[in-house]
Amino acid sequence: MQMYELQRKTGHDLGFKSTIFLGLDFLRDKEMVERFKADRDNYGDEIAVWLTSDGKAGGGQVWLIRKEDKKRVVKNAIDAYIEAFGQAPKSVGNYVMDADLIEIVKEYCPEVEACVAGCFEEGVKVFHGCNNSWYLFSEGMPWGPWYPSKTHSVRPAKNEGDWAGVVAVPHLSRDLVLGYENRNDFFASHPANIQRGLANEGYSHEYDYNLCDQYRLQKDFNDGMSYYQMHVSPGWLSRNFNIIDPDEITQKLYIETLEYIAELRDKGEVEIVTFSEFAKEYKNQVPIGKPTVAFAKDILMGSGKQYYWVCSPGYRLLVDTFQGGSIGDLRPYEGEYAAVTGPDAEKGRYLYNTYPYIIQSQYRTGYKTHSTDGSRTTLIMSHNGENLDMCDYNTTVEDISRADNNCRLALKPVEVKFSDGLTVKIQTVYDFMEGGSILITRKILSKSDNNAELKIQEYVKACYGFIEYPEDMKDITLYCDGEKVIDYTYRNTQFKKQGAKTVSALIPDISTEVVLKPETKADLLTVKEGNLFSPFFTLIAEYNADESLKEVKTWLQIKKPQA
Amino acid sequence: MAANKETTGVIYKCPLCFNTYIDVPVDTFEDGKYHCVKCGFVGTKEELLQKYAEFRDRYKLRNTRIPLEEQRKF
Repeated sequence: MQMYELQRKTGHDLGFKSTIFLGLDFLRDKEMVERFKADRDNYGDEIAVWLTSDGKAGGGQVWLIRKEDKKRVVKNAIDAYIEAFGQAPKSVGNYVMDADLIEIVKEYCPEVEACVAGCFEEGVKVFHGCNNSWYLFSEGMPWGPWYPSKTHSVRPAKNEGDWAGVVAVPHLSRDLVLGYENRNDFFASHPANIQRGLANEGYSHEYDYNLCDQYRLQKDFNDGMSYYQMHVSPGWLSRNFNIIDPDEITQKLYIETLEYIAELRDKGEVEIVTFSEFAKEYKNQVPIGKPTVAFAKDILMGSGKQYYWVCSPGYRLLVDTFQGGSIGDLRPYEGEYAAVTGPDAEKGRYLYNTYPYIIQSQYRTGYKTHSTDGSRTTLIMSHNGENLDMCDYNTTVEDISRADNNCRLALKPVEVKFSDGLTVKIQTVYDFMEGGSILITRKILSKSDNNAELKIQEYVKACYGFIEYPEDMKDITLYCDGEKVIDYTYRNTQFKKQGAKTVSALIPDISTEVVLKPETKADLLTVKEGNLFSPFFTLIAEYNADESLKEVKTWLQIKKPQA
Repeated sequence: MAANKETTGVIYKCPLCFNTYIDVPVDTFEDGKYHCVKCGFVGTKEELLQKYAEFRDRYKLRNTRIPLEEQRKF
């Protein structure tokens, strides 16, 4: 309680309106309820519900219990809130809320407008980081606010009919670079967690401020909108076992970070609102279906790396400029894979509120480092029997733009040099369109010998999964021009066709079709399966880059399979 | 949880495990040194703190303030 008082006093002294999430014990504590009511009335704080599991459900985490238990837990929490405060709550949350929980909350309490519903990219890396004990899998979700769909809570809704009826946010604002590369519970809008990751140095904690500004930067790419939240429970501020600094440092870092936000507010740079106020504002400003983009620059490691994220109802995608501008993470939302969590969910998937990937270069190898390459995209350039891989050529972001619901990313050109001296300058431009479509343009800006033979291949190597281990691929089928050509049986077979129009893979287990479709006339299309030591499929479109070819356009399409 | 007898109540984490971002507490044994339950680390408190300082070096920008305007140009 002492630390709650510290938080409370700090927030009120700075003129903040906070949102206070209460579990059932506090909702039923009459004395505490009076204190929360006073803060609501005197300071404009919002009181919200933090859902928790109960003994009858077996304890654990609220998204990992049976549906009947979720109903009871929600009912008890909402009823306790109404009894305590005389009205229904508008905000509810936990680290994760699956589609069942959100549906149950909205059915029982239609007044709820906002949910804390996930943890951006918390999953495999945090599981490892907590010595394989933190069974929270919430990857593949937006890094900021979203409209959750009815069938999978981390998938953004396509339209009103698909929408679960709430505005959702991740429980913290996490580093947009380290969210991909690292266990990002350390690198989040939570000063004590940053201490846990040893990213402060005593009282020096520039990263707290830099991370806030990383999120403020995103308004440049999202029509002036960016979102940042600090969400810290009192137990972190005094003798938390994760932190080796003395309490004085922990408390000072927390207070100073809040003071920085107050400073921004006083300059008119940010607006501080309660959670339900935010939800209302979000619904006014951001229509369902509008994509969000993020330009992520490394602000801690000093690597100079840049990433680009785009999140739309069709997909969530990351471009890794350090891996040649390849796609490093791709979540195929267009397929509308449906899932809930808990012991009565689909067998083997009880834990996962993660939306599956089809490309994940961190978990599934990416560019070759050991045996073979793994899931990634790239451009393979061939001349005189020599192959060069675009993943070998670092680039950076040249331009980010958007028009309506389409987003464009232009990367800085790279120059590749073959061993016989031929140099070719190529620029990659991505157009991220609605409906699961991605247009990859490779502009051949110059060739030191215009008559030199050059072939280029648009190369997509993919799979599917939830964590770092492969899923069963035996139900996957591979197609060329709509005709089935390979049943996936791990025999490394391939099919090639000159003049073909499309190659594709159908992944029934996650309700997704992946199609590679040249826009420019391609010479040869190839589709390959893998084997158990390289469990992927590969789609390739090959073009003859003769002197007349100045650019090559290829569609990568994510589709929902026909019923 | 580690049964450290330190008066500060701090529970230290193994620096070798933490090098790969894995949190594992270290316990003091009769020899007065910290031992890790997961890996072979053994060391004094001074060695622990030295390794934490070395760990921090990976965060090359930890003491660099990069405000919004700088991040735009970064």
